[in-house]
Amino acid sequence: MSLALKPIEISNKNELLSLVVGQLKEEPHSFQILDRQLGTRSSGTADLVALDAEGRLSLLYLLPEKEEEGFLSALSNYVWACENIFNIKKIYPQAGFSASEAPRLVFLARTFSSKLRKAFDLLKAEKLLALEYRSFEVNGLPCLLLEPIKLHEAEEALQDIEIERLKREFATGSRFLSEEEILEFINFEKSLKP
Amino acid sequence: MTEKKRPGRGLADISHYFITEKPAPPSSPEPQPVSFEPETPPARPSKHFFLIGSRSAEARALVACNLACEWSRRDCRVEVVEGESKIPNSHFLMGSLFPENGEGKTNGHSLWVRLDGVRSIELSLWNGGVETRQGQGKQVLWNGPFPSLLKELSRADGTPQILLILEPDRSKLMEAYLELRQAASLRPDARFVALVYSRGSKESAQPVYSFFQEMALKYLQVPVRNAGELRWDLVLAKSILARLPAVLQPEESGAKETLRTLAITLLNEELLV
Repeated sequence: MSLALKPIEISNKNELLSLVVGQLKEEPHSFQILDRQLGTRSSGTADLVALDAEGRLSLLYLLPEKEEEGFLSALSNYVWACENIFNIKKIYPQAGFSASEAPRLVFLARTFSSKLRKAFDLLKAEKLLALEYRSFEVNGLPCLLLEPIKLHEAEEALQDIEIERLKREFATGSRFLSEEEILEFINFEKSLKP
Repeated sequence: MTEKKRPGRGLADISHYFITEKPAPPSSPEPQPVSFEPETPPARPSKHFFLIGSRSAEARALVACNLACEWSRRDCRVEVVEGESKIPNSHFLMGSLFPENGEGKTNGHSLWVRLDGVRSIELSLWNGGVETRQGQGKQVLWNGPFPSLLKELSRADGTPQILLILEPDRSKLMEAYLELRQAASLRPDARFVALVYSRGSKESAQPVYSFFQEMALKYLQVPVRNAGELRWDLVLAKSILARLPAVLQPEESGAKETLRTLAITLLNEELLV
């Protein structure tokens, strides 16, 4: 059987979310979808409410093309959700998630700009997940491919700057330290931090 | 009154009416520096200890003074040689203010300090680079800027013991590592011991020591033994304010115990790993 594959654009948000739901349920994400749209008029809306593989409440936000607006709205909703987690637990009593830990943040977009990636690093949200999607048509059926992006690249860039600075400081004579030695000290310092 | 018999014609057994034993003076809470001649040294070579690492002069001087007191209590002759000519912390911590003309001008200038509970300690101020006295049969603690210490290390007799004071801070650890490298290169026969000094840190010192030891073995092939952990506490704070070393303070504390243990193990050349 031949496989006809071609990239497509999915403009309909509901269609897109349906495909996302299908992908999130599968490995490796293994999300259990609870609901669509959680929020208030003032707080903004989460597009999907789910439980991740560890049973933690997760809120997924589909960012539009003008991602900055969507990002701020998503954050507003996320803050609301954190403050009202006990009430959310009452809405989904069977879900069994813990109200003592903050919901997990999941962002979905076609692509994430470098500015947004840096913002993700600064957020330092525990287990933040950012997924880029690629939409295809396989044998006439729309499909979605979700790829997590690598976070903390900004942190690695900062570490590179720090290494360069230390290399300049310990560059000559009796104070010379190799890059390997400098890296060991940097990593040790990180390990000491809580 | 206590009876005290004295030989004498016709005066036997009545001397106690005239001689009374004075009560022992109360022990003075303040250190009393006294100058007097040193005793004749026993015939054995001096043992040299070099304190390096830690940018803060307070940590080295603190350890040096406490070691000196503890050794002196064990009938050792001790000399603390202070290299910080402008701010000689060792003298301060031992309750002495160095003479004004000592700053940067005199070398080998000494004070003798006698504190309650110890025999005597010689405090020397030295500006490095000038020949200092190499006394016989003393424990000599060198405390000062690293370049000056290197100079003295190069001409120390016997196997020099180098006490590294490590703090859980990246820049200070890097400095201590560089100093270790230089010292080991200059004196491959030296023995290195590391004391971790935690200033109020709740973290265990073990990760700091383990990391440093690993670095020393991996990149320098120099073994560094563990001398324990000195945690900042009230007794240490009091010892600085009162200018009386922690090992002589009445309170018991972890820091005091650490310093006492360190003194004994260095003295016995048996290092706890």
